[in-house]
Amino acid sequence: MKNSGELTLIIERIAKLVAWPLKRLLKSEHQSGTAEHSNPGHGNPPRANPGPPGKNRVVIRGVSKRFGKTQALSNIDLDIPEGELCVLLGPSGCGKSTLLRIIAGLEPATTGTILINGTDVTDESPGNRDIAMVFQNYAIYPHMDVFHNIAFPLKLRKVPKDEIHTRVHATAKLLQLDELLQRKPFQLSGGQRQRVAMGRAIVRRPTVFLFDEPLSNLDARLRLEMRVEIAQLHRKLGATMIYVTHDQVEAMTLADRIVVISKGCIQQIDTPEGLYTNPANLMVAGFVGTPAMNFVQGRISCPIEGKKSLFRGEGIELEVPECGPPGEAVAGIRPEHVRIDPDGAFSGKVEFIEDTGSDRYAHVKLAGGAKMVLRVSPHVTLKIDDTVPLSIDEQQAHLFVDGINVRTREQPRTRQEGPGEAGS
Amino acid sequence: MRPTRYARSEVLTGYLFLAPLVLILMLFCVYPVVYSVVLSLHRIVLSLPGLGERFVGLHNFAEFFEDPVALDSLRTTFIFVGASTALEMVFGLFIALVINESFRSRSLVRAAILIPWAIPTVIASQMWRFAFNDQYGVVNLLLFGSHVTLYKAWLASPFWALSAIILADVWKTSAFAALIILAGLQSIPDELYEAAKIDGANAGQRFFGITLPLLKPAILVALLFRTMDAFRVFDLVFVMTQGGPGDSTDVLQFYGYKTMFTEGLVGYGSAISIVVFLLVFAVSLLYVKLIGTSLLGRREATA
Amino acid sequence: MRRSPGERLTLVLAIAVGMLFSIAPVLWFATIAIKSRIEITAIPPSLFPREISFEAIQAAIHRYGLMMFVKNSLIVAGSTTIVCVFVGAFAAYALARIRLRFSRALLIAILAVAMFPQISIAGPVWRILRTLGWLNTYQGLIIPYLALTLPLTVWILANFFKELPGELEEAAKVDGAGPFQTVTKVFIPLAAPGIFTAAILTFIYSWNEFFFALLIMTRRKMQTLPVGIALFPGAYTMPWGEIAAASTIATIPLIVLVVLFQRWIISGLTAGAVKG
Repeated sequence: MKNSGELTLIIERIAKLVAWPLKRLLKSEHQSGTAEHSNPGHGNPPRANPGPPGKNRVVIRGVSKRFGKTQALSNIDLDIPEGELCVLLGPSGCGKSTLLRIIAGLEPATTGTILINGTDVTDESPGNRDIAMVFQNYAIYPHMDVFHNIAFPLKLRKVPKDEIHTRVHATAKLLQLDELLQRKPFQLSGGQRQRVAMGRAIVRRPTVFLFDEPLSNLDARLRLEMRVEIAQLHRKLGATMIYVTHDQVEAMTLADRIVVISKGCIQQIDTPEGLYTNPANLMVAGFVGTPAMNFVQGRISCPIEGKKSLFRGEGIELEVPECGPPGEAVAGIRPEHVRIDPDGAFSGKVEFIEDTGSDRYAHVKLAGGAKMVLRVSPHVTLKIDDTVPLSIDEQQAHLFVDGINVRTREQPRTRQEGPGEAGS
Repeated sequence: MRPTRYARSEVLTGYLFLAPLVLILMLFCVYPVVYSVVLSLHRIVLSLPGLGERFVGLHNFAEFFEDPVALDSLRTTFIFVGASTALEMVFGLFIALVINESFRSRSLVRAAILIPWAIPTVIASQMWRFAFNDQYGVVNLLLFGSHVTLYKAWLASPFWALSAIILADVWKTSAFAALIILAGLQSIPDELYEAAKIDGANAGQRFFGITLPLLKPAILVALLFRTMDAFRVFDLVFVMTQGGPGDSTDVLQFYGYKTMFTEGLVGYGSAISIVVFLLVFAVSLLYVKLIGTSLLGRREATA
Repeated sequence: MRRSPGERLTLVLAIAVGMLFSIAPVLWFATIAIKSRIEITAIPPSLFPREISFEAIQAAIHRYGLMMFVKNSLIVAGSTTIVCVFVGAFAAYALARIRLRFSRALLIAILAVAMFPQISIAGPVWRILRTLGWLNTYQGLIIPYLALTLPLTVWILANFFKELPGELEEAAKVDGAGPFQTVTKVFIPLAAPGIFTAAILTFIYSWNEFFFALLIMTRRKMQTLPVGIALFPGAYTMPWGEIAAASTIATIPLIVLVVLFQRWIISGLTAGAVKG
């Protein structure tokens, strides 16, 4: 025992354990005790707890996490306003799930604080944070039927029986589960299980919903369906949601705002279009968009008097409007910003043609050695080994120096960290 | 790292959940062993309370090695442990091979084979005691029929009495060995047998070339559990022979019990109990080491 | 897989030998229970009863107080099982799911404790119980039995709990379940097969245990079945019919358990063993 604090904790624990059977006996007394959930929701679709408007529902300050020697997260700051669906996006192992688990209280942070609804919950148990979570593998209790799965969090909070009944039924109706309430989980399909897991979250009317890659175990068609459902649910409930995924399509279609995380650092926070048009750095640029942005290695040359500085590399030349410092750089061009153009300044040889049905992409090798993917119209006839003239929409091209985008037309609203300064 | 109050309380809850278990085990297992060691260093005779509880050092252990009955019971214990575990492995392997085959009503056969393991040892002992009865026993009936004059008093002969106890133990516990060996059998992949068949190995070669070597860890585990248990044999002896005839079936645990609770020699009885404890401990260490190396060997082979 | 006629014959013979070895002695002993006293003591004896007589069974119940032993055994084995599974489930949860510094060492220690020979703790346990005034009481037998059965129970349940998906536990935490509720409402129902296995094994163990029952229950009224059967009083000749009757009655619940639950019993007995 290091200090008397731990001793009092033990005594508290023992007291709680001893008190448990007594509480059971005096159950009726406690039913009226929980004021926070006593607003009855007769038949109405449950809505999120209305809180002070315009406030940040989740505030993360200086959160770091270490697992032994590996730094999983370093110094994360993030504010999530009321009603936002915020997606944490990044490659696997980037720390996004760890961040979500820290917000949930399932994992202690090494440093930093978490505020939910304005109160510091860093020391609180997951059950006391007024959050609900939907897990990757659904985590529905196999020994309970659908009704009892959804009712479980309410029962633990000693919500009166008839209120549990109305709330579970309202939730089930919202999720089209009302026919399935008596079923056991093994009698449900993957999509239905997913809905049960969401029902268990919704029924509590929490301040924040947390989603941990909830669709990654569904097949492609169902994933699309559930994605639409989650988006609609978000609109209906107006609730604050934090959603972790490694699937950028999911992120782009669902999010109000996306937080791109890599190597334990926030790379960029922006709206889906913002990320796409103004990637803050090479990591984000390469991660967001399919097919990925084309990168060309090169140098920015010293401006000669009267001329603009130029980027030259592997067969292309770009004008650099603001006079950047000379040196190594990488140009980034999206596939839709390269065109087959008879007046094009450079040319490439077609190596491969990819037809996805709606879109058509040509993989070309430039004379200077760079490889590029470009979107072409399905009407253009192209053959492998054709040599085609190309032009680049220079207005849309990006230029990265030391990994940072130097051509963002407007500065991103939020703080960024380059991969070079990770852990600062 | 600064653990949160919640994380700390979780750890405390963990220790709280463990507390009853640890308390019971400390009070009724660990403390008694220590207490036994202390008692074994004293001279305590219940029928002579006037002697008090005098510290005598290792005197009781010295006495053990000069006590012919004790040494005899040590020998008997070793014979019993060796013979019964060896036979149990053979029968266990046989049973395991049979119930590993698939056939109709296999679960019923498995249940039937478990029955000897499930019934109380005392009952098994009474059953075998009566089976070996000199006048009404079924063993005599099956061997000699109505030739009553040939009937033997099995339990009155030192050799046959010990044999009868060993037989009863083998009957009762082979099923346990079989189950552990069965688990080992089921962990051998079928491909190995198929590959051996393709290589032209016959049934015998498959058994000695694949089954037996791969079963070694399972057999060792079964041996460990069975040996531990055989050292503790008590019920069979208590019911079937009371250690007799003479002291021919007087195993250590029974001798310790008699010394301590019938004769009231608490100090000396405790010394005997500590000898049993150390024996079991040494043997289990040996096995654990063997099991460790055999598992290691298998892992290297598959790697 | 198809078998050749030779293989079939070998298998059938092997099964027959195995069955005969296992149950023939029990069946023979059961026939003693329904023989008349004269037939039991006939020389030479008979293999099968010529007529069925309930003389021995009635005598075992009325003259030797068999039902008293049955009651004591039920109380002791039943309470031991319930408490053991309850205490064991919480301990196993702590060992399997809470990150504690000593959990591995503790698991090994528990296994080591299970190997202690009864004789090496018998004297002190008897002294402790005498000090507490618990000799010849139910709790005086139940608590030592807990010490003997908890290691296997904890071992089985800890293995079971380790296999359960971590997400379920986390979901329960997020749903607001405290550790106590997590165990009672999520882990115990989910590990029902493991709980069941542990309960059956604990019950069989405490129903059959003899050594401590003999030491602690010296008063006839408190004795359990094994003690009762081992110490069956006989003036000149042993009352073999009554012993066989009592034995058969004491065995019936176990045979029922084994036939119904052999799969669970097998998994429980081998769970600890194969992990080595």
